[in-house]
Amino acid sequence: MKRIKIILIIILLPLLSFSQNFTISGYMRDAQTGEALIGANVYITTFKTGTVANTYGFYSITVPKTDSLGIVFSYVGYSPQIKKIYLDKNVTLDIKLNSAANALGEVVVNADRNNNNVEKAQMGVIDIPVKMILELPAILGETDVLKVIQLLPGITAGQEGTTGFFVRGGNSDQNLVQLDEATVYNPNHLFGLFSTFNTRALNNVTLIKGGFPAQYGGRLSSILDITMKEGNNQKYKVEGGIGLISSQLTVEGPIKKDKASFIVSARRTYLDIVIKPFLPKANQTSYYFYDLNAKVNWQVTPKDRLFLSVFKGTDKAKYTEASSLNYGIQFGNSTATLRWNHLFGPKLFSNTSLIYNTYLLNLSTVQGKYYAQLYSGINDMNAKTGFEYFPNTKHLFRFGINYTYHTFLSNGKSAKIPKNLQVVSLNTNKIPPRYSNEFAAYINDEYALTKRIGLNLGLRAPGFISKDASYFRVEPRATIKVTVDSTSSIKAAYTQMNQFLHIVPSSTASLPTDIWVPSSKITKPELSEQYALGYFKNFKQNAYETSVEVYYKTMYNQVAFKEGTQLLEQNNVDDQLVFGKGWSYGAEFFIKKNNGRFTGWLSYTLSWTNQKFKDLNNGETFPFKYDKRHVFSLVGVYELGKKWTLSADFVFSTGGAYTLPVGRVSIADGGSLYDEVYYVYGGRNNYRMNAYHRLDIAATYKKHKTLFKKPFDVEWVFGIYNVYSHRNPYFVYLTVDPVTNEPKAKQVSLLPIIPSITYNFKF
Amino acid sequence: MKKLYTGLIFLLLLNSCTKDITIKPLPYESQLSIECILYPNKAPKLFLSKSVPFFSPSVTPQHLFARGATITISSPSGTDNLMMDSTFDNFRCRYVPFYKGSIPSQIGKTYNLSVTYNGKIYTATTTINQPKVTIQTTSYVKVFHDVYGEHEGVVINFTDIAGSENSYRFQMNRIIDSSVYGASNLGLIHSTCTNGAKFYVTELGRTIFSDKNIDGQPITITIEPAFKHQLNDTTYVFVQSLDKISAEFYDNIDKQKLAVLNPFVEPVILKSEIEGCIGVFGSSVPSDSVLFIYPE
Repeated sequence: MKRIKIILIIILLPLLSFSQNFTISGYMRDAQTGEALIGANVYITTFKTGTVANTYGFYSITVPKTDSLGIVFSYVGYSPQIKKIYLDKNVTLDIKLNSAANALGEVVVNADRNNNNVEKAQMGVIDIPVKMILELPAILGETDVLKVIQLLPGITAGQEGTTGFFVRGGNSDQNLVQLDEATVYNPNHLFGLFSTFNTRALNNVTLIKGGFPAQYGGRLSSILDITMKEGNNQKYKVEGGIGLISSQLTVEGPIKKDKASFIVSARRTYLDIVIKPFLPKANQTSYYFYDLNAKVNWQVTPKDRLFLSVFKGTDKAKYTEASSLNYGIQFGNSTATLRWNHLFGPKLFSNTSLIYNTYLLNLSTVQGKYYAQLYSGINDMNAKTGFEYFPNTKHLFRFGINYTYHTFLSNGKSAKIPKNLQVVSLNTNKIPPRYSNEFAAYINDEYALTKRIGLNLGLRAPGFISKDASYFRVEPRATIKVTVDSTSSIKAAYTQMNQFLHIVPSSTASLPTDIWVPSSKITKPELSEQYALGYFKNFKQNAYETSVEVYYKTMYNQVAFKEGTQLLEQNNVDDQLVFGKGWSYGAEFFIKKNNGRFTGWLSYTLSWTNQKFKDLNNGETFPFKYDKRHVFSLVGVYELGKKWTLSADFVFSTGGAYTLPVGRVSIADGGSLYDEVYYVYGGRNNYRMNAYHRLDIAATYKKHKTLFKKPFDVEWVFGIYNVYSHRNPYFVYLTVDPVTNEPKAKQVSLLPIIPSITYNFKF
Repeated sequence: MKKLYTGLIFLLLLNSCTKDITIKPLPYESQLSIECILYPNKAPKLFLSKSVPFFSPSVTPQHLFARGATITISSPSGTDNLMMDSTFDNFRCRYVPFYKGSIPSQIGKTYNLSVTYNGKIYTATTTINQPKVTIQTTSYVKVFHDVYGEHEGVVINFTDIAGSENSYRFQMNRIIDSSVYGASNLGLIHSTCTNGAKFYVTELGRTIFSDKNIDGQPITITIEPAFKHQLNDTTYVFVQSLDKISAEFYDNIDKQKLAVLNPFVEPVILKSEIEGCIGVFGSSVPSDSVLFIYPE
């Protein structure tokens, strides 16, 4: 409690200080499209201080009165603007930056590259440029934000074909994935091959894996904050792509120039239609997914702006080819977000959101003589309001409240297929809904204590109330940055996070059978404590970013199924769970080249993640399923010229952990059915899959054309995924040789070498 | 172009494949497996075997049997030295070796087990003090469902003994012949070694029934008989009261069997009730037998 008081005093003290200051504020936007430039830089040369634009492109900086104030507005890939103003009153400056690609002549952007990674009192934050996502190789030409995230330090991709990503030893449910502030519970399409986000509809992608600011909460391991484009408010644009398995189309334009715009983007696969003529009639195999993004925004007054964005993504698959493995699955997310930006003044910005989102998974699968059905549905209604207050150059306050009403429907069953082969379907109408309330209040201050020392202090107070339990928590957050010199700094962070919603990971099934459950009297909230320390150094005017981060994270109340759990319709899922502790520690190395003809990064993570459950593995410590000692990735994009761009990525990671018996033992009881051979396990997750490695390459050919006297840009993307066709493990299962009766292990792999061609156009 | 396109898609689908992999076995030291359940008024029988590495050729009970052990079961009444013996499993057509004592066990007494094998000593203790239940009625159902699937069933009604934590399992004694085949997990195995002669079998139910939350109340259990039957086949059914340690052990191995059979069940790690090995030393008190005749 004493610690919390000290933090509050530090946060509130500066509010009492006053001086003769004036504020420069406004929005920073792309001159051609009107899109907000999230994270763009504002640098006051006169006072050698600066700030960055927020998620809506708004910035505010307050400095002392001066006759001649020099301001540089800059953003990566854009030509900077320099302004000189006489500052004797508050000034509103809305800035439109021109993309460097559209500028006349060659623009040297190097000097303007920001050094936020060194300067900001924030750790574990990575902005992923959408442009880079579009240029990197992708499976079947489908560019993918999650695939790029999996190449970053501290991130593990799981096995091939598994959904989700794993951050610093956390399970996939410990990542909060938000699209325009709406939670997307499953951000993947089937098998995790593609993410549910259509890259061409995105404006900004930020991943936070440590040192969490207080405005974020509800998950232990990471926040993936994705912002959709707002839509071009200057002119109509059509952008499309035709790929091997899917096509996508994006249309955007002004509803009223500079005031209102829209964007609609849709994508659908057509694998089901293409393969249908080639399949035997009895074979019901089919698969498709689609996603749809739409957004409108309207500048109601100079101080008010409204946004309405919707998203829907659905997967539907049936697989009946092999008699031993059949499944039918349907899952998807839908979100709707209504947001209202309001400026109370040049120093106080607010955003209020009403959000509705749903998630549904309906799975039915048969393997051998057994079947399983699973249903997991989530429905959230969320209201939140957040404020950003910029009192002076030393402080940036964020505070707000957040409330979510959750409805959960989760159940499953598994049994042997009846003799009459009539499997009675799970009656989803009889699954009792579980209602809960989740809320939080927070305050956070980015505080420049001295020129060399920056602090990021926050306090978040989340709560959770359900029918049979209520929980109230306090989460202190603190990051300190000490500048070593103009190009390097040392940072340290401490974070506490709570999580009231849980995925119960299945350690058996090879399909996406994870089931979401809310906290209850039995299932306590998960809690994490994370310590991180890092050294950040930039070279050659920030052209090269490097960092080394070490972390130690402890996760309490981790959830798993009891040994021997078989989901039955009549059972309460909570009664099938056991709880334990997880801990992860490691070091992350990152080198990134930001500009020039060659851009890219190299990332290496060395980490250990273990778990201990009183009721699992005889109470002994065991490695987390996605504990991977070494994860290495190398990413590069090389611009050959104006027309050709080459890109490649290589990934290597230690194989994931899985459980196999080490021995066989005869157990007898005098002629009964017990008299058989049983398995002796050396421990849970005692074996390792083969190492995962893969090389992908792509070449992009761009050409500017004219069509009906208007610019028409075309792009051909030639890609090869898994160039040397390495059979990466998906899962390993046991079988018995029918002749020798000897156990054998078989590995299932999914993706061999896959070439692709995609045609993109824009006009 | 269309051919190329179709070819690429099929390349992806067809190449999603399985391959045998060679797994480097983890170092494994063979463990001893000890199972001994004491029944009142019966001489003790102890099964002793060695475990083998998982990826090794198939083994029979004879191969795994731990020969040359020194085994004693002692009580205030005296010490019983168990000797090697065997019986013939007519159903599986093989000999099953075990160690057998000569002093019948008695209700209310505590027994100490000592197994000395390869220089190591394994010890355990059990007391036979479970209550004996009385079967009230039996009946037959054509279909019932449990975690193993859909089966025919024998229904047994009895009343739990109040005031103690009890666990029960089913027992059926009957005569079968070579035309009778086993429950699904044994497959369609016909006995080929009896030349059609009938033989005696004892079936023990896999499922352990607990009186948790129903202390002292009437209990109905439905059992899948292990072997096929014909109209008017005569059997004798029992309900065994198991001590806590035995109940936990057999429940654990039942769950492991289910997990091995059903790919959607979480794996189960065997819990031993005897330190340093895998196994159990416990006791069971059967009810009096009740005649059950298959009605169809």
